[in-house]
Parts: sequence; structure tokens; C-alpha cells
Amino acid sequence: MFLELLDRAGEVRSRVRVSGLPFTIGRAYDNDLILDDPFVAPHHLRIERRDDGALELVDLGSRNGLYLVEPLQRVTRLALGADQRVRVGHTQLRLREANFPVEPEREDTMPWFSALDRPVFFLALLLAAGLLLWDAYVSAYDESATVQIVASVLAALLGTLAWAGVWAFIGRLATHHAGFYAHGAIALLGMTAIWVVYDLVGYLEFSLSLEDAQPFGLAAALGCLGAVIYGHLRLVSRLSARRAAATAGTVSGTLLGALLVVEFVASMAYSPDPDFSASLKAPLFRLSRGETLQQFVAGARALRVQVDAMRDQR
Amino acid sequence: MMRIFALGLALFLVAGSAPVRAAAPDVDAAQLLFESAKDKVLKIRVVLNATQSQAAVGSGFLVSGDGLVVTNFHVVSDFLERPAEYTVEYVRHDGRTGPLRLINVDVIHDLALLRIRGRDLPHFRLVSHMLEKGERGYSLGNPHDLGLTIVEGTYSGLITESLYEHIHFTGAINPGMSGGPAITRDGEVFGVNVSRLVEAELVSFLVPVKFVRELLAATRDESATPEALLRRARDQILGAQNATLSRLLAAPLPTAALGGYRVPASVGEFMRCWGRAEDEQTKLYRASTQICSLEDAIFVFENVRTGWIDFEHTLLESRKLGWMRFYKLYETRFATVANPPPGLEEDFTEFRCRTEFVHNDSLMLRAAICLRAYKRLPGLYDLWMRAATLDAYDHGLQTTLTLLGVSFDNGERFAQRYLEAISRMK
Repeated sequence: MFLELLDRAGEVRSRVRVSGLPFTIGRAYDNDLILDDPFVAPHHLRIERRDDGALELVDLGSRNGLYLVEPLQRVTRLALGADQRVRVGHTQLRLREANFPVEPEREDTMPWFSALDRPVFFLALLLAAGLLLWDAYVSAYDESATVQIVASVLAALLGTLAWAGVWAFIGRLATHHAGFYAHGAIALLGMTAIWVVYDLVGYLEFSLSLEDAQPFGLAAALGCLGAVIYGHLRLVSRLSARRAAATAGTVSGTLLGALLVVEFVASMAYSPDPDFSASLKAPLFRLSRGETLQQFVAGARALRVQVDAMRDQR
Repeated sequence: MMRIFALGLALFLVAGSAPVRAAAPDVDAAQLLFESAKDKVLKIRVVLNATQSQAAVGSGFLVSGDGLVVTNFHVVSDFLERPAEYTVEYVRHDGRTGPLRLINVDVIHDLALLRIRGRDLPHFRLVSHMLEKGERGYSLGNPHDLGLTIVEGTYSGLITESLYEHIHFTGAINPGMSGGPAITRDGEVFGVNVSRLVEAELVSFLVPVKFVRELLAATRDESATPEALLRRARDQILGAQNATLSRLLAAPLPTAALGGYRVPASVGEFMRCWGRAEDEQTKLYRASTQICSLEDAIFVFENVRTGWIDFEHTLLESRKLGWMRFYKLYETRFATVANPPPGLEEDFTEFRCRTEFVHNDSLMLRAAICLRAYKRLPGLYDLWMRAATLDAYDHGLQTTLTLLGVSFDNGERFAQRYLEAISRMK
């Protein structure tokens, strides 16, 4: 028979074998189990076998008493069932028989990406560096911009690797396995995906002539971020896939919510600047047919209705 | 062009810049004129009721024995903006003060007509003849609220390239002299002090006296409330803009060449155009910009100037950029609005925009059209439009139209005409 000390989350913190009866529990050193809990009496509990053979937990007259956890109630004597939890002071105890049925062994399923190693990492590094270089190159119009291009690419890469390094460090502490290359590959691929998605939404806004596709870009980018966080979490903890996905979803969902709130608040503040869809790409990306001059200018009538309403709102 | 508008005594800087003149006989002439004119000129104060502090100071002058006073619209615009919060009053040279009642406005020429109580008051006669260029003139007023002064200057003719006629006066007009009279050697009013060119010496502007005469003639009924006067001002702006735009819309817009394109250009002589080039050797592209503007802004309120029309065209040409890079540059330039029309929340709604692909006869364009309404002048709008051509991979034209203070119909018509005028050269 075993007596288990539980923490607040219900996880076992320590476990002692109940070797003989009666078995005493309290803060004094002459007990069989010593509890370092200031809210526990020096001699608090005793486990005894009743005449009919059942086990019983007896309060030895402590001030703070003995509580059954579910349903919570104070008791002085308690016949112990199969899987019962009790509380003394601020300590939770559980008594289990040696024949208590335990769950079958869980299959050891480390996610597939924990196997990502050097080759994938360096491939991801190459891909990310390539895209960043391309982006910086495309956005520089000066002949002497090479240094700036290289500097900006290096800064972005180092930032991403530092992020991966932090996760690897956490993994090292939590699971004794750093897995830097796996974290690095996830971070680099994630950053690349965010960049691609954001750019794609810009092209979509232009091609289909959407008025404002920015919120979609934001949502898609945060979706990528969620996937990245999921990957890191799976690597640094033994969370199940569902728990990790829920956590990652919560983090990126909260971030999206916060950004949308910020955007909303900003849109409430008055700005005299014209806010138009500024996405402009090469002609070959145009899919929308466009309007005639008359249609376009007549479309401003809807704007008039809007601004008239804003004016008369006061 | 900056309007004279003195708020308290904050602007001592300019006050010391009066010209030094030597000719002794003129000093005497000015002295005599000052003596005869000082009782006909008033200091005009707009007072904030809540604190009894003065919000604006200007000058004005009597034009009739029964108390009609002329000043600038911009001197009393605070009152018209919030009639419940402000009071207009005068201070005479001898220190006597009293209330002024606003009875008519001409916002286009920046004039206001007020009345004080009185009978057989000393007043100015309006000049009946044309002045000769170079003729001596004397401007009276209350610069920076430092007391009544007389400033000698020269009549330098009418500004004709301007939409709304002004007299060019070579003399030191300073903030606070706004609304004061400019008189001839005989003491007759030929203009009303209105503004000066900043960053220039002695380049000042007067409202020709004929507009004072017109305002006097148009004033039959003196019972208009400030609200009615504000509506009248709005109608004057709409009327003036309608006249201007009708002139502009009477024929297709004149165009000029810019690279391989034709773009709307200077309309008539009252629009001025400027060119600018960005052609540094280190840059991988060239940009040429052409700006044409009709700069006759009408002062309505402290933060509301209207009537401005502005065309801006920028031709971007790749020197060594591939098309991906060129279009990235093209997009960045399209997204950057360097000089958006200024405005405060109390005066304007926000802009509302729509962006579309638009094709005229010769070109495909990406165009954004934006509109905002004047909150205190219903029926008046600001229109802002930007378009970029999409017909090449190594060059393109981006153009911006700013049309401030128009009726919606005129704005719509003008925007269409503007886009029609942009074309690819054959």
C-alpha cells in the first residue's frame, strides 16, 4: 500500500510505502510520515485497520482537521476507498493499494519534426537567406546598397536563430535535449512561410482589386506563427499533440485579437490622410477586369453617402 | 502666401523689419495723412467670452458716417466659426471701445462688413480712379497689436495670374494690419491690407477696393445671423469654385508631354507649374515630377483653407532595375503620400477611398479616389485622387489630383476629365 503526496495540480510529488499499521502522519519526528507543512499538527492522522478489516483514517484531534477532497467536507474518521484523496493542512494525500490498476504504457511518439537535423536546418537556412536577400535586393534602388542588403539579411537571420536558441535552451532544461537544429529548422521555415504569405496577400489584393486585404494577411501570418509555436512546444515538452495545438492556437489567437483591437483603436482615432489600397504590382498580375472611367468616377457616389453620414453624425 | 493673422504678441520677430526711408517731405505727408486717418481706423478684436481674452486682432476702417466698417474675413472668422463663444469689438485710436455686429461677408476676397453704432462718424472715401504703377500709397493698421501705424509703400499693379484679383503693394504689411486700409496721397482707400509673401521682403497684397464697393452694394439686409452668413460664405465658395471649374471644364484639359505620356497641365494663366528631377547617378532609376497648382487658397477658418487645385505627375523610369525591382519601387512611391491635404477632426470627416483598375481610351490605370466632407460647410467636399499607369515594365506615370472645396458634382466631373486627359503618346 502506498501513500502519495500530491501537488496542487494533482501530480504526485512523493510516494511512501505504508509498511505497517497503525501508520502515523504529522509534523513531529516520531511519525511514520513527516509532513513539513506548518498547518499540520505534530500528530495529525493515523491509519488503522478496523475490526472488520477495512482501513480507516482517524483525525487525532488536530485544530485544522481532516478533509475529504471530493466532495469537500470535514471528517474525523474516514473509511478509505480505492482512490480517495484527503487534505490535511495545505497538503493533499492519496492512498493507493498495490493492486491499483494503472494505464497501459503510452506509445513513445515524438513528433516527426523532432528528427529534423542538420541537412534540413541548412536547407531551411539557405531558403530563408535566399528569400531575404531577394526581398532586400528588390527593395533597394541604390547602387551602393549591397552593405545594407547584407546587413539587413544577417540581422533577420540572427534574430531567428536567437529565437531558436532560446527554445533549444528551454528544451535542454525541460527534457535534457536541446534539439537546436530542429528548432532552427522550424523557426526558419516558419519565418519564410510568414514572409511568403504576407507577400501573397499583397498580390491577391492587387490581382483581385480588393480594397483592404491586410487583416487576411495578418490572420494568415499568425496562423504560421501558431504552427511554429506548436512545433517548438512539442519539442520542449511532453505535451500531447492536442494540448500543444491548443496552447499554440491560444497564443496566436490572442495575438491576433490584440492586433485587431490595436488596429480598431487606431482606426477610431482621426487621421486626415487618405487611406487607400496601395498594393501595386506588375501588369501581368492583374486579374480583375477593371472599370471604365464613368463607372470608376460614379463609384465615388458611394463615398459621398459615407462621408455625408459621417458629417451628419454629430 | 500667408495670411496676416496675429494671435496676441507672439510674433515680435517681424515687427522690426520696417524699411528706412529718408525723403523728408514724405515724412510730413505721412504725418498729415496719419492725423486725418487715425479716427477712421479701428482696431478689431475677437474676444473669447469665457476668458475675456483676445483670440484675434486685426484692423478695420469706417466707410460711412453711419458706422459701416470694413475688415478682412479672416480677422473675424473665429467669431463666424463659433458665434456663441466669441464677441467682436472695436478699439478706437483714442481708446474708446464698443461692440461690432457682423452684417455681411465676402469669403472669396477675404472681406467682412461690420457695423458700429454712431452718426456722422469720420470715414474714408473710396478711390474712384485707377492708380498708376509706382504711385505712392500708405497702409494703415495695427501691426502685432503695437498701436496704429502708417506704412509707406508703392502700388505695384494688379496680380493678373491669380484667380482672385489682388493688388501687389510694395510695403511692409505685418500681422495685425489685416483689414486696415491702404490709402492714396489724397486719403482715399484703394485697397484693403490682406497678406504678404513670407520669405520675401515687402511683397504685400491688398484686396482691390472695387470688391469693397461690390460688398457694400450687395448688402441690403443687415439682419443675417452668423449661421446664415456662414451659409452665405459656403455658397460663395461653391459659386467661385463652380465658376473656376466651369472654365476649366469648358474644353478638354490642356496637356503636356511627360516621358511618353500626356498629362493634364497648366490651365490658363492662373495655374503655376514647377518641375523637379531626381536623377542622381547612384540611383538605379530616374524620376521627373511636374506640379501644377492653383494657389488661390480661400481662408475660411484658422485650419481650413480651400479652393486649392493641384496636379502632380511623377514619371518613374528604370535605369538598371529589373521589372520586379522596378515595380517594388513603383509600389512604394504609390503608397507614399507626401503632402496629404491637412485637416482637423472638427473641420473635416476622414477620407473615404475606393481603389480600382480603370481604363481610359489608351491606358490601364490603378486608381484610388478619396472624398471627405466639410463638417461646418455642408455640400463642400475635398477630393483626392491618385492613379498609376500599368502599361510597361520599366517605366510608369503616377499622378495625384487634389481638389479642395468643391461640390460633389464638380469634383466628379473634374476627376473624370482629369483621368481622360492622361494618355500614351502616339
